[in-house]
Amino acid sequence: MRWGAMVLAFPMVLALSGCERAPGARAAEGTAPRPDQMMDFKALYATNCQACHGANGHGGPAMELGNPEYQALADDATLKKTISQGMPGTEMPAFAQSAGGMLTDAQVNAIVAGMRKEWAKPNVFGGVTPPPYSQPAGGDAKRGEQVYQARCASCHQKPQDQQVTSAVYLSLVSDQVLRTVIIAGRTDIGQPDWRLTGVKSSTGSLSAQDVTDVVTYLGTLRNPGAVSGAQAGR
Amino acid sequence: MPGMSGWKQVYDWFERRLQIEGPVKDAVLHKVPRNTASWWYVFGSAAFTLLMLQVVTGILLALVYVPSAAEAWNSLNILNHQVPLGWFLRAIHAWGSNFMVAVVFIHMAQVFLFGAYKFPRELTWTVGVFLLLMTLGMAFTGQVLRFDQDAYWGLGIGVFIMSRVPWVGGGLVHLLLGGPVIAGATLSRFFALHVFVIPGTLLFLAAVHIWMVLKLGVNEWPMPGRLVRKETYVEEYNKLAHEDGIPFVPGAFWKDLVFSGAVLAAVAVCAAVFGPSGPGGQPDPSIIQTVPKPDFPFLWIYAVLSYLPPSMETPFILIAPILMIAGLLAVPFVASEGEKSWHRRPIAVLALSLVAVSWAVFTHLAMSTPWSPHMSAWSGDTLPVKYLQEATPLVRQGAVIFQAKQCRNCHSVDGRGGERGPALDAVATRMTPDQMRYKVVTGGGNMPAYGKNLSPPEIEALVSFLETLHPANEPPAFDASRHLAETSSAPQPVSAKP
Amino acid sequence: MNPFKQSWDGETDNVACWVRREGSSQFTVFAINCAHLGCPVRWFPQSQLFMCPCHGGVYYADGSRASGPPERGLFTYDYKIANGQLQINAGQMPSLSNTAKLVNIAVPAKQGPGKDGDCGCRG
Repeated sequence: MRWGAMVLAFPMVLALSGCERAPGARAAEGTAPRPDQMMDFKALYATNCQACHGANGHGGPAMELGNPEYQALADDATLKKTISQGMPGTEMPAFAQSAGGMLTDAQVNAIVAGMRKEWAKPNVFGGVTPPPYSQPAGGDAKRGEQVYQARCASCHQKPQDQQVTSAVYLSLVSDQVLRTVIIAGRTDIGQPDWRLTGVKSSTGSLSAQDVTDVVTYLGTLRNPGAVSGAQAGR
Repeated sequence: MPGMSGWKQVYDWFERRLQIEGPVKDAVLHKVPRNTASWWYVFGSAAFTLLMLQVVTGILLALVYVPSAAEAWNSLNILNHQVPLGWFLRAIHAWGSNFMVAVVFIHMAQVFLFGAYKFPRELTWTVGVFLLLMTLGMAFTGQVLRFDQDAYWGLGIGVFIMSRVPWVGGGLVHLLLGGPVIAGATLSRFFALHVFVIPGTLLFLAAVHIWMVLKLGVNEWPMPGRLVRKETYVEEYNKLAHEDGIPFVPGAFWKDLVFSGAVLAAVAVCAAVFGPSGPGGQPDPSIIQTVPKPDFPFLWIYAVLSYLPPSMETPFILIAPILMIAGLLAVPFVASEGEKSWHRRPIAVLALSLVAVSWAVFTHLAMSTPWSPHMSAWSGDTLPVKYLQEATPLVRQGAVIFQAKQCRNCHSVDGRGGERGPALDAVATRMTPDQMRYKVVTGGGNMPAYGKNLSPPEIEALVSFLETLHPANEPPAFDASRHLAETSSAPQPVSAKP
Repeated sequence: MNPFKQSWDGETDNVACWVRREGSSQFTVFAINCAHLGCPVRWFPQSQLFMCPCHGGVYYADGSRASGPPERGLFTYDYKIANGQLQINAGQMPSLSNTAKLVNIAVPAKQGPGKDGDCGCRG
């Protein structure tokens, strides 16, 4: 019976002496947090954002949030509004509880602060002022088409029906998305920023007017009827 | 201090009044057949030891636990975090429960396999069946007392199962919950069940069970060809026990002790290593980011309920438990005589194997829950970067649609995402774009129809993304008839012209 | 509206539900419980579906069954509008045996911007 007692006593002694250091004690640590109390940026990003925006902000199908140029271009208010209320004309849904989502305002703020901390870098534009974030009204679609053909089309060629000029594609993204990507670029898939650095046939940066016009031009392609109308008017 | 003779005097004083020495000696020294002193016969005593462990740890837990819906969850967290070794106590009680359920089932399987339920031990088996039900009842009510999210929604599942009983379902639900909703009265009710009603009955039935084991003797080792006959069995057993018997203590008992000690040690090790179970999130029904799951002993039910076709569900829920319990109760009466040895009872062995294998399969399935959508897959599971590196804008936008429209919740890509629908890593090799469009729009099988919820461009983009999902060395599927029509129609205008 | 409310009910008296606005004063209030076994369903506005995390029951925006094991659509609660407030009678856990009625809504031809929100209905 001594052997049985030993078998019994050993783990007891182990547990008592190891006391709160036993692996089981660690399992009991912490209280299951309410989902609306979760404030850790990494955890919030991993459960709410990364499926579309990519692990660590890169390589996802949607906007590259980990691109420092994007972080420099979009201000806090824009990010908060986009996360809270979604982005009209795109698949970006509203995440704030006030708009039918699951996140509190504090959590939205935590995500914005976390993105800044992780991905924003000082002076990414090297002193150059990029075109403004928002698309101004009154772009010239005709001029935009010329700019597109001259500056963009050499890369954006094939396959025609799946390119950025495809009406199907354009009806799924908003003007703002097009503008943001043209200005900030996407480092993860080789899309250059508005300066077109690294593009072989490049003749320097796009001007703010160029960006606005190209976006306006692409906007007209979104609705095939409008496109044919524009062509008829030429 | 009284001397040796002083103690003897005290003992005699009590013994003269209690007169317990005789029965205890009888019980301890009664002869059992030599071959029953087997390592196979230790599970019953281990189950009883675990019951005692649960009683002791349960009383200790009750010193801190507050059986109020507002406070129960907090008091468990205080046990976990503030009471010294409170977590270990909770862990022992939780693991003790797991072990007890397991040991009770093993004990039952062993008794069944050894034919030990046959004459004259039918009633021992019958009482044992009720002990099993009580043990499961303790496991379920204990899970409710943990009063976290799983407990709350587990109760909800119980309510929905109960409500399917015809006519009295509503009344049963009201009785179970102590009101129309899960609230304070519900917890009080389950506390009374878990702490008074079921343990009281359990202890009483366990005492009856053990009494019969002592009175009827431990089942002899089954020998092929030695048949049980009501007329001769008792005589044969007594002969066996007296001619080739050993006293129960210590002859057979030391193995019980060693095994029980080992089981307790295993409980302690599991408790120390794995810790207590929960409590999970607080039982606030407005927190819906939860995936309720029952505790281990009930996982198989969870699995069965997801695989039944909807029309079978209510009949199954209502009839199956009755059939199972009736079947178990009928065992010793259907086969109270005859062979005990498993060598000559192929149907019994097959039945037991079938039950064990199905139980294991269903429990395993319930651990991975392939039928459950992953609620945050659409926003949390990334796509492999290589899928999108060379993608066209439209395909990339299709991937956004794929994620944002929750396709991922049921369809995995790259091993991540739900498993309710088929994995889509190679979907382009199985379906043509037209077939994909049709499936997305109309749904069918277990898939909802997305026709109303997706715009035509969204469907186009989605399909163009799905078309890229095929292995590099395997071309996507194409519509052979269309291909044929296109190639064969090309020369026609030429031949038509002249 | 729960006559059995006790002070020690704690957080369990927060009953969640999904409210769908169909007009200025037209609502449908869905119980949070899946009609299969009562797990909490979640609304996904992007795909316009309710999904259940337990056994994979899925419902369309009008509460009707889309796929999975449930035999019927989501349960609804009665409501009334008093003093500009939406009051919901959630004092009864919905299940197959009580008065919760089968959801049977013809999808309105012209549907307002359906707004679904998580509501805490305190009894």
